[in-house]
Amino acid sequence: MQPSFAVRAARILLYLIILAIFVGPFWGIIVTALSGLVIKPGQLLLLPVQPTLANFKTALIDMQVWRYLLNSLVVAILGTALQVAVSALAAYALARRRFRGAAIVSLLVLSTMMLPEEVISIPLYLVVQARFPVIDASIYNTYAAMILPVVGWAFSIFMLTEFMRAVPKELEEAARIDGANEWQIFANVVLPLVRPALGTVVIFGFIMIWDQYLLPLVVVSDKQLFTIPVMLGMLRVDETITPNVFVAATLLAMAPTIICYLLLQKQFNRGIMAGAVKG
Amino acid sequence: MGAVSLKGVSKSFGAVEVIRNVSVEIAEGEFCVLIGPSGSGKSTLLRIIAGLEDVTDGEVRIGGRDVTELAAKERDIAMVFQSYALYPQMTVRENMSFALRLKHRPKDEIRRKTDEVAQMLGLEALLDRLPKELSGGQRQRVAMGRAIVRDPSVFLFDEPLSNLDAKLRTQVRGEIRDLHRRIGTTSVYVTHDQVEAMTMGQKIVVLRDGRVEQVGTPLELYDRPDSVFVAGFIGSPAINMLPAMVGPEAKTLHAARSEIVLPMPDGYRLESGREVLIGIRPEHLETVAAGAAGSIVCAVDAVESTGSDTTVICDSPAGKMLVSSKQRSQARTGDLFALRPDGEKLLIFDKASQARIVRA
Repeated sequence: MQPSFAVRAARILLYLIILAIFVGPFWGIIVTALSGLVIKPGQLLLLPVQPTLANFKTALIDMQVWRYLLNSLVVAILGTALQVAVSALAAYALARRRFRGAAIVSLLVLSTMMLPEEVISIPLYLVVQARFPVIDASIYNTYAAMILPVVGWAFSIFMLTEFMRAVPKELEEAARIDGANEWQIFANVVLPLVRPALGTVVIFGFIMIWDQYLLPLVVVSDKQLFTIPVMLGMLRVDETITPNVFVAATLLAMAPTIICYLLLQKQFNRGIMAGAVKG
Repeated sequence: MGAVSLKGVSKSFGAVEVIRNVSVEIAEGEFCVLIGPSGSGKSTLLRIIAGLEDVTDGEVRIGGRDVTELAAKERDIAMVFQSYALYPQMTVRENMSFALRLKHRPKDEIRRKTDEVAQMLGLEALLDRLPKELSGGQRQRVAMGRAIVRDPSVFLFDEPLSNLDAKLRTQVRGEIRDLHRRIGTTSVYVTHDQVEAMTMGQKIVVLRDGRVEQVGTPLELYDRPDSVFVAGFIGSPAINMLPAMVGPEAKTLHAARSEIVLPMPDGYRLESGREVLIGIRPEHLETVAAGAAGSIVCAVDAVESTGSDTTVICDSPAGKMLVSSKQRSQARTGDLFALRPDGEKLLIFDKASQARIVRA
């Protein structure tokens, strides 16, 4: 039976309200960034007024957003690569090897998820400040200070552990008989079979590292090393720039995560689905 | 090629002993079947030969070399798994050549060997396919191909046919037999299917509760089983077992809980009153006129016909009995008839020890 006109109209209205709530702010950002007219606080444009790309140019070049984007890219790309490598190896050990204390290791990994970032920020600051013997230097104020603390992430370890557990034992045994050593079993047999999960872990890891705000704020004081979220935080209170330039910078900050998602979208969806239907 | 020798092999998982002092000699080029019910330890024994399980005690030798402490990859064996264990992300060619690639063999040698084996198994057209694009029988052949390419000393098969349908199972059974004839590599084959064991094995090792119950050729096991267990396990339809007692002057056997009296077969020297079990293969029973001496009166319970063979399941005063013959039966449920066992082919077991009593 066809729904009546009133029902259909109500449904469309509901969709429009939901669309306005979710897409409205994002649309507002895009329109403002593309508008030459400087908006006032509380003002919302529906369409660009005096369309221009000048706000992006000002943000990228004059405000040096490119530098912070580059810093964020370095941290996110290196951090994600290391995080995935460490997570995959840890997950392989937890999922496929039996060793004394495996349960304790799992618990320790899990415990890192239990503490809020704010709670560990001061201890983390102290650790990062600690000076290595012999070379008498610390990683404070370096890329390493922003990368190393995010390399071990419980979420990706547990996600990969579950996927690796699902790989049949016979495949590992067949590879063992075929002459494969531990590394070859990991790299040639188990890892290719958890590719969908790897895609998911890369996307989540990249976004998690890209969005880090407190960590770079705590472990880096040199402005030249700031990442884009830290820089956005500073721009927000900078009265010399217009809101239009600020939102243009915000859009630029979002771009890499969107590109990362689009590139790995297929893997991401497969990963999510595979996780859902696995028994 | 290599002979396989197990000496006093034991294996425990914690407090549970799954293999108990097993010693088996498998000659070079022999096709040996390990058979037993679930939990008998046959797969564990195969995994011990493969090096996938350590032994708790004992020694494993392959080709005269002590491999007890060696890892699986150092034993020069190849294994075909029940689930085939093909690498899902690799094509048929990559699956078959994986071991050679790990050994860093020259590329043209890898290609030549893979092509040769693919041709031998009729897999040429499938070389670029992924395992998920193959049928069960084709996957089975790829798993065998992967084993053959390596040219190992010993092939190990872990119930490789159990995931196939009945028709395909018969076909692949023949293919494995042909392959063994052509290549002649020592093979150890685990199954719980006694038809597979009887039709494929040159030697059969019957396992029970982690122990070797009997070792022999298929017909030795069928004709001269050492125990009630082996007699019952080998043969389909299963052997009839009648509890009985040796009669006065040891000239008769009296079936328990019935009036059935069978003449004592020649060559047995049994003391009167001894409790025994009489084993009668279903094909060693013939239908005779009612009241004939040494006959058992039965009532038909069911008739099972496969077309070529007919098995009649009947109720006798001594319990259920199976009769099989090549002739078709017109019998109907409830029909009465008399059966007489072939006295020469009766098997007599001691009731207490369950061991077969040997004719003098």
